[in-house]
Amino acid sequence: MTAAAPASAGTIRGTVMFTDIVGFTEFTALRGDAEALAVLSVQERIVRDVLRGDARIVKELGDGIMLWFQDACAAIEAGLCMQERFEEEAQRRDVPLWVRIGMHAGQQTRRGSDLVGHDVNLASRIVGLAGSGEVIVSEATVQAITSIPDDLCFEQLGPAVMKGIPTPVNLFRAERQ
Amino acid sequence: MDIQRYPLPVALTLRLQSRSGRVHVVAEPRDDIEAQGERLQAKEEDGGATLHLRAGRGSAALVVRCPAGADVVVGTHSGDVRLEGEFGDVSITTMSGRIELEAADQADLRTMSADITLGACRVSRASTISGAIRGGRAGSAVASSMSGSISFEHVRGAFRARSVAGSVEASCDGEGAIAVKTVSGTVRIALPAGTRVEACCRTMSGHVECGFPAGGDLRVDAMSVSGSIEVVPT
Repeated sequence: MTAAAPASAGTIRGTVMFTDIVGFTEFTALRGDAEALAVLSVQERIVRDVLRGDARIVKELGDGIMLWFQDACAAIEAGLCMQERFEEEAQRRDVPLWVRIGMHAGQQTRRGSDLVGHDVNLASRIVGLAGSGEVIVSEATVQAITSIPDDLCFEQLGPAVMKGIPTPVNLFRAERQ
Repeated sequence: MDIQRYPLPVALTLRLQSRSGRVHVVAEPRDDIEAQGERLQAKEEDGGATLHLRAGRGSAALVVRCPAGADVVVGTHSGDVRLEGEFGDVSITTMSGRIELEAADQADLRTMSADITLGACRVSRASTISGAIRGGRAGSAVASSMSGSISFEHVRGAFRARSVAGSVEASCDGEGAIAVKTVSGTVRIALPAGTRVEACCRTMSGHVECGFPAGGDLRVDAMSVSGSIEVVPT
């Protein structure tokens, strides 16, 4: 877990979220680029609809998106809201808009408009352990919430021993009550 | 090799960590916990109700014997995880280790590149990227995979599965809604004959077979981009 040190000039503190569309490569191969691009557009539209305040899209990563939120609770709320909207849209359009979401709160270093650093790497590892439709968060993210809303709950998944990350990270699945 | 014994606390949760060594936990009638491994680190929390055990670096196995019904949380990087006997709530997260669980009340099992095998479980959730998921008897089940297949011998209640390229196969009692989605994997759901089904089965280029009478006994929602969908009698 990252110590809560004050951010220096080139660094900021916040929560980094990664989204990843499950099966996008296979869908593209089966249905072609035009339909695949339409799925990406739907993902981006939903993500932009959900974003509030200081939250921003850092960059698009093929079939995924990297986002930054100042507030950990807002990040989790946004992640759950995105999943609800993805489900609705997937059902309505009959497309596999199955997205997994992972996030981690900590310190990020600015590199132009991009963000880099250990805590960014960790967030990208966490999304790899999320199943389709899930929002998986690190313990640091949960601890960064000052007041957990009544309709939010976390199921503890336990320690994840991830490649390149020296210390096991406790993970939680965020859900609506 | 260290062998350590711990007295039985009032309630029991085991939290186990290993990087590359396999983890083998046996639940059995006993009144203490026995742990065997190399350079073990142990820490008790919650007045002894939670025991953390961490195996040292290396490939030596961590073998733990505990009372039946214990809650177990395991994290490994590449070490396989095997839980033998009957457990309470189980959570296993590993990057590339294989997961085997004999029986639990509730289970959350996730790995990135290995198979998951679970026996009996009231509530189960399993997720893998490239491995297969094989389930025995489940009260309800949620499973997701990318390239691996998903199969359950028997699901009594709700069954929800998503697979990209792997097939999905399950025999269900129909006591809960069924929702299965794949990109290219085939879907085969077996239900008790005579079940009246509210079926919504859609595939863009595969075929759909559902010979059940329409009705409100059970909702079956199956979707695939190119895979075939079959809903057949058990």
